[in-house]
Amino acid sequence: MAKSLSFGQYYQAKSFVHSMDPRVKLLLLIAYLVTVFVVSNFFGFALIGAFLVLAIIFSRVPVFTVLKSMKGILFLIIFTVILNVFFYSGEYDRVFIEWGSVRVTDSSLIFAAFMALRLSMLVLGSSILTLTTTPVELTDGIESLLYPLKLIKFPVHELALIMSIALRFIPTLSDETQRIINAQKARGGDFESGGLIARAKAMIPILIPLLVSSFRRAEELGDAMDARCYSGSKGRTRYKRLKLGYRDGVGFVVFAIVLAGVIYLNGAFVALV
Amino acid sequence: MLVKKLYKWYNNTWRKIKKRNLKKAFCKKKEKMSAVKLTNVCFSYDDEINAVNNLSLEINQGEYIVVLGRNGSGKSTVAKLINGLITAQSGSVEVFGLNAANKSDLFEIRKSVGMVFQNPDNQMVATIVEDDIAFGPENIGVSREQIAQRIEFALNATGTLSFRNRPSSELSGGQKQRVAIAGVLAINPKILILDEATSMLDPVGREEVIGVIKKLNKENGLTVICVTHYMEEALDADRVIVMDGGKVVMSGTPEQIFACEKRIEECGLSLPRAAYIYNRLKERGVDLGDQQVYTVKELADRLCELFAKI
Ligand SMILES: Nc1ncnc2c1ncn2[C@@H]1O[C@H](COP(=O)(O)OP(=O)(O)O)[C@@H](O)[C@H]1O
Ligand SMILES: [Mg+2]
Repeated sequence: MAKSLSFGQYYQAKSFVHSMDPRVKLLLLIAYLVTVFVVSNFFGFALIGAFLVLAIIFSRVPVFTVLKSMKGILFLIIFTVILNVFFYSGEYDRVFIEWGSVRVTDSSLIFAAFMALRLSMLVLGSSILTLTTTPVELTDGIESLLYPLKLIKFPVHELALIMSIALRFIPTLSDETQRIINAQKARGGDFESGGLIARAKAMIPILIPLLVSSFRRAEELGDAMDARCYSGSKGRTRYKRLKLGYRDGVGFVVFAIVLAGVIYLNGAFVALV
Repeated sequence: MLVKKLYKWYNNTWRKIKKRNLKKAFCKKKEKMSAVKLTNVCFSYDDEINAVNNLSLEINQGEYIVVLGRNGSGKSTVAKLINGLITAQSGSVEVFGLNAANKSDLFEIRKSVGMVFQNPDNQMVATIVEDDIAFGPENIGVSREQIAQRIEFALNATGTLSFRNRPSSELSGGQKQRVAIAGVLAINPKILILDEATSMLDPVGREEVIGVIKKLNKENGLTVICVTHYMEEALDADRVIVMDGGKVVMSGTPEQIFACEKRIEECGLSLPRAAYIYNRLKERGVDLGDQQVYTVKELADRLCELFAKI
């Protein structure tokens, strides 16, 4: 469990998408997400969907693994769909079912379908990023992208260091949590039975020792960092440098084509939403 | 022509002689050079009890020092004082002539004093071994190419080359601690302080770490200050320092120290197990030879010899 946490969803493989620059992947993801929300008809969706499929193919991540990332959000999608099917209150041409103020109309069906598509594409796109990029690469990418914020004195380096330390300590703290749970169980602690409130209360004897030990760890880590000459970002060099490659260019170009296509399709057909 | 040649010859020879003299002078200086010098140092965490009480200590370059002492005797406090993590309230702490009380010299001191702590989990910053080792050199502004070289050196020196791209959470305690040493070595320190760095390790891990430290001391001339609870580790030292109540109470070669069994026990310590057994057997008139025994292996050999005689 600790391992899967520390590496997020990362799927180890050597692929086109894996070896792209994390900054480019981040930027492309943001652009992709915006596009998914801009698309206004099914042709556009087909196009951006094709881009998604291309990304999945070139990431060499098994389709099933990618789809698994939907598990967490499936409930939300179903919930949204149901809510929209029955309670969407836009203009409509045809009514299928009417029951008091609850109506199922043609536009409510289309809208619900759009919402479902958008949400799933959002999740699938994001998971491609996390499946093909290690957290360390992501941190480096974010630090590099936020670099301009240094001009307004935003602590970019510190933020990146905090993220990287947090990632480093996930396995350590998750092991420790398990140890504390076992220790409390050995003393007769009960974490499985009772209602929500009873269970939340049962967490207290776990959280407090965890908090105390985290503070102790933080203090020791601070000493260790001082001893290793850490003194902020000033005068600091970087060992790893992110490098743009031809793949990043290809990624940009392909996405630009898709974006142009989507904009064209948006104009050419009637907006359904 | 001839004059010119003569002049050149004269010049070259003169330069060579000068160089040799300088070298000699430098070597002499090096032999005597003290790495760490604490003079009448007092430090208190709470202004009530002195964790370090009027302590004076001098450590020479290239020495292998082992510091012994019961819990709370002030060992960690001394280690932190040397590294400038805390500042003495009175007295002076000097590292290669630099005073730790000077804020401006602190960075230089930390560059030359590497420190490894007890819990390997609480001294690593990055997930991947290589990235963690890069942290130190990055901090002191070493160029990218040089960092690569230093990582290479540190990994080789600690025998951790094969973990280079692995997350440290997958390593054993001994492996983690060797990575921690590598992270410190990459800063290129002249002094290495280990504060109970082996106390959380199993016997195999402990041996791995001690092996690495001994090698660094012998081959790279690193000054080593090793704080420990394991009497056996003291046997490797050039000099053993025993602390109690924030003071140095004994100092000498391992043989000198372990010859005073009573005093060691007064300081809350014990002899290495083999030496203890040897002494007790000797008291009861078992003849194990006159030479004091320190390691279990020696003891076993002596016992075997004895049984062979019977
Ligand atoms: N952070 C601290 N705050 C207050 N007192 C401390 C702190 N660290 C150590 N001490 C006290 O200082 C004394 C020396 O501690 P320390 O140097 O850690 O001993 P050792 O490392 O030999 O076990 C002890 O009495 C201890 O209780
Ligand atoms: Mg201590």
